[in-house]
Amino acid sequence: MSISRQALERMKEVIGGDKAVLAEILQSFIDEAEPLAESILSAARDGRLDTLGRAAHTIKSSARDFGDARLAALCADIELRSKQGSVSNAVACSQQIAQGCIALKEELAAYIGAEMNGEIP
Amino acid sequence: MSRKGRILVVDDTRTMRLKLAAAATALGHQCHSVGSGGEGLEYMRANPVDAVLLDVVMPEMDGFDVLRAMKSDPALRDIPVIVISSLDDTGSAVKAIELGAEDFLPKSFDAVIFRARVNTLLEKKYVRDAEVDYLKQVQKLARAAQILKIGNYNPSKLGLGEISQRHDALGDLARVFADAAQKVYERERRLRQSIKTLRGGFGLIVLGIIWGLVAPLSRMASGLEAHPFGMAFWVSLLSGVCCIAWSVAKGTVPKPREIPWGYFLAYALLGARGEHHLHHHRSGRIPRLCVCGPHAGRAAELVALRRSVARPRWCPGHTL
Repeated sequence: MSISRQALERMKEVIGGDKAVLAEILQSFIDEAEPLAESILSAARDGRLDTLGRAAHTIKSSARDFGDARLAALCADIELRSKQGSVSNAVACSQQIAQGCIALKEELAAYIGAEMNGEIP
Repeated sequence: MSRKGRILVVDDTRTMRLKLAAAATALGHQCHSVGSGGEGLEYMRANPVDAVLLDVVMPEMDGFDVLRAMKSDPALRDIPVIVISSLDDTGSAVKAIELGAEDFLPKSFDAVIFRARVNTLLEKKYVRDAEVDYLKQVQKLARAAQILKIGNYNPSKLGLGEISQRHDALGDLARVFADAAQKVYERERRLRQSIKTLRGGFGLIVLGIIWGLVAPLSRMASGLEAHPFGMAFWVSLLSGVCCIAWSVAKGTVPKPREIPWGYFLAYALLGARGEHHLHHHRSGRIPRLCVCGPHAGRAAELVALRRSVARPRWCPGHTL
């Protein structure tokens, strides 16, 4: 499991403890995950470092918020290298990020379901 | 914090916008979110904003561009900004602070840090707003003093209503100014009213004197056998000359185009006719409408004629 229950609890505290609002925020990432994955893959394939860096930056922020440290580290690395202008294995890295993004999306969807059904204490 | 702040969130990522807006709302503030720097500037120019939570990395117009635009606009310059940056991007946070941002916040912030930073920023903003407001009211008071200095004591022209509501030394000063101006203004108003009454009374006395001349002049006319129309003419002329002299002395002579000549002409004719009748009835023996000088001495003859003819329409010296 990539997401951290602790990170999500912290986010819930930040937004005032409202489960519905938390679900809306998570759902927002779920909606954006696939376009973001597409964006990072196409930017890596086309060599558009600026778009690659920005997409990695966006995924990194969300991954940190949801506690996915591995995905966040991958994004931070590719963001830094795109700023420096030297992404040697950009396509391979972006594929890992895209996969991580989709996995995160699925875990968040499961979390929302469990949260709404009262399965999470 | 009891006061509700108006916070603007500028972030291109919807997830982050939702999180920041929900966090600010949870603290009891009003929040509005936009997805780009351009929209943020547009919103700030059209709406009052107490603080901005600004993302740095955005397409087209990034956070630095927004800060530059805000600092070059006098209307937006004083809105405090917290930049939202990643923990591993301290360089961006430093650059944003150099460009005028008040503080920075990592994207993965916790509730305590967020509350402390946002509320401190808003408190500073409110203190500054109060100082600016105080200075503006001091300027208003100084303007009121200038108005009083040039002798305008009309309280409605001083614009001290808002300042007088204050419960501090400035409010006391404004109330002293307003009360003093009100007293002087009332005194001046009463004095002006008295002057008007006196002028009116004087005018009435002059009019009475002129009209009072009618009776002795009638007697003189009957004694001297002068013609009443001529007497009426001279009395009216004298009244007219008095009025003109009065208006010249007051500097209120109307322009020729403004004078209702028709009214004056009708008034003169009717007045002359009225005075003529008055003289006629008082003297009892002078014809009603004779402008002919040579016949004025034939009063006795006319009286005889009146007695023989019921109502002579014309003096016997004339043939129609």
